Amino acid sequence: MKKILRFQLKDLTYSCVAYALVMLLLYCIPLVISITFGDIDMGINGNGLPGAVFCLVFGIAVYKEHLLMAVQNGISRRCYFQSVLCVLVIAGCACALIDLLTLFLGVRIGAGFSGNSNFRAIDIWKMCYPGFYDRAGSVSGAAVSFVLSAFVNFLLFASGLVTAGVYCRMAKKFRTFYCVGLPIFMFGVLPVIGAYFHKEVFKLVNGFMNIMGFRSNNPFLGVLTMTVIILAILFICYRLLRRTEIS
Amino acid sequence: MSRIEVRDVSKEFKDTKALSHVNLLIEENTIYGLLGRNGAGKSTLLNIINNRLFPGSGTVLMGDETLTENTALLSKCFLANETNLYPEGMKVKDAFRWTREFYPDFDADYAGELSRLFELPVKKKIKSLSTGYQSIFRNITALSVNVPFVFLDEPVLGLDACHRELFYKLLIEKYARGPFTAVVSTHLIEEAANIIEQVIVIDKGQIIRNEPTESLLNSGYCISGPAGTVDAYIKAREVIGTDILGGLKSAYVIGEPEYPLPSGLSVSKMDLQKLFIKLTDNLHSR
Repeated sequence: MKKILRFQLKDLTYSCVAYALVMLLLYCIPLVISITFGDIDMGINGNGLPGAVFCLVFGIAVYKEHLLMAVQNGISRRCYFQSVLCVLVIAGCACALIDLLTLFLGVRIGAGFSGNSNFRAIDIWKMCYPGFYDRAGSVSGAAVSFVLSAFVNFLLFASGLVTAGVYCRMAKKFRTFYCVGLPIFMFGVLPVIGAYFHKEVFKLVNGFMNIMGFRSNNPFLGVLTMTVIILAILFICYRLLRRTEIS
Repeated sequence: MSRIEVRDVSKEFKDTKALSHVNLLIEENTIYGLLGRNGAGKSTLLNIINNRLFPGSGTVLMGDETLTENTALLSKCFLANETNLYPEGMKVKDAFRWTREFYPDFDADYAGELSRLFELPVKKKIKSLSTGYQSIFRNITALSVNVPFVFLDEPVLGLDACHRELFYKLLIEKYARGPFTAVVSTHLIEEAANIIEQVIVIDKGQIIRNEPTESLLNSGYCISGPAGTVDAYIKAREVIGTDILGGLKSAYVIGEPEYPLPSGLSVSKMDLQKLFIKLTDNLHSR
């Protein structure tokens, strides 16, 4: 397992470095503009959870390529899956760490020039669990924010894996339809269905908010729920992987 | 001693039966020739042994353990086939480097030496290599990997005559230095005949012959002469096929020739390619 893990981590390192550099660039641009042109009030807006998007894309992108490399070099699918689990945890934590660092960097930069800064993942969690963050100190708040961000990253990474896993298992003639159909379904059909059945969706969202601990202001309930969802997705992913044929 | 045993393996793809109850023993330190017509099931068999495809039924064992999904045992096998499983953007030299990570006995110096011999551009990406050079890359990897079981599926695909000869020479040299098992699947039987110790003939998903090359070639002979005389000679004998050219006829007969021969007839040794064609032709014409 170590051999394929080493190979996977090499790709993850390159990708994480590129991701961190892009994030740094996003900070630098408004900072440079603000410093250069004193009359321009620049803000750093719209972060949230970029690490989650990175994990989703990374999960989709590397699944097949790394699986093929594993199979070529005599690694069983089971070992490959174990390696993927390690990568999932490492990638999720690394991205959450980068998000956490950007939080502090954002605060520093925000204080350093006239613009405002909401370049912070923590704000999302403050919106979800306001009661908890009111009580929590800055360190414990940041720590919980890190854990929540990491779990969202795990979830999106697992979603990426299962998306790619389905692709690898399906017959070649359906693959184009799947690639085109999946985003259309997720971002086109599903919202329309949601709008049509808004009462049912409302009930679902209500239930989701309860099990995620939004109503009870309990982030740990959210972590527990995400753990269950992640395990379910990974189970599906393993079922798909263990009979995936390469030819 | 470890050996690979394919036990009662069958495999179907939709309506096609690729393999049907295949039983096969692959012993250590032998060069096998896996011969079969297009679609006979050669690649499917190699892919199943190497854990790329799963058998519909049956098992593949190494020693007493199942080879399928067994990383420890799979690390003793290496399959080089037409499908490139290396990452799209990977360079040849990086592929060698990573192969060494996966197979600790990979001889990087030897791979470098072979690359120079074949003039393989190691700084190029694998996907940008021509068909011939992709085959060369796979063959070099397979020859340098130093595992007990090496499977070569169409190793000379796209190779020119010089490179084919060089490859066979290197394979024999490597085998002489330190024996290992090589299973070579090929259509160029005449060229590979000299290096094959044991012949496995597969047809319509079934193993129809599995025996040492010498004994297979000695199991019959070719008798040639005027058509009428040959016809009279083969009447009471087991014939696997005939060729007619004008008034001359050649018949491939199972058994040993009996001397003295009727006048006008001559005996020659059966050649592997002819035997293969006759064996598989007979089955297809049935």
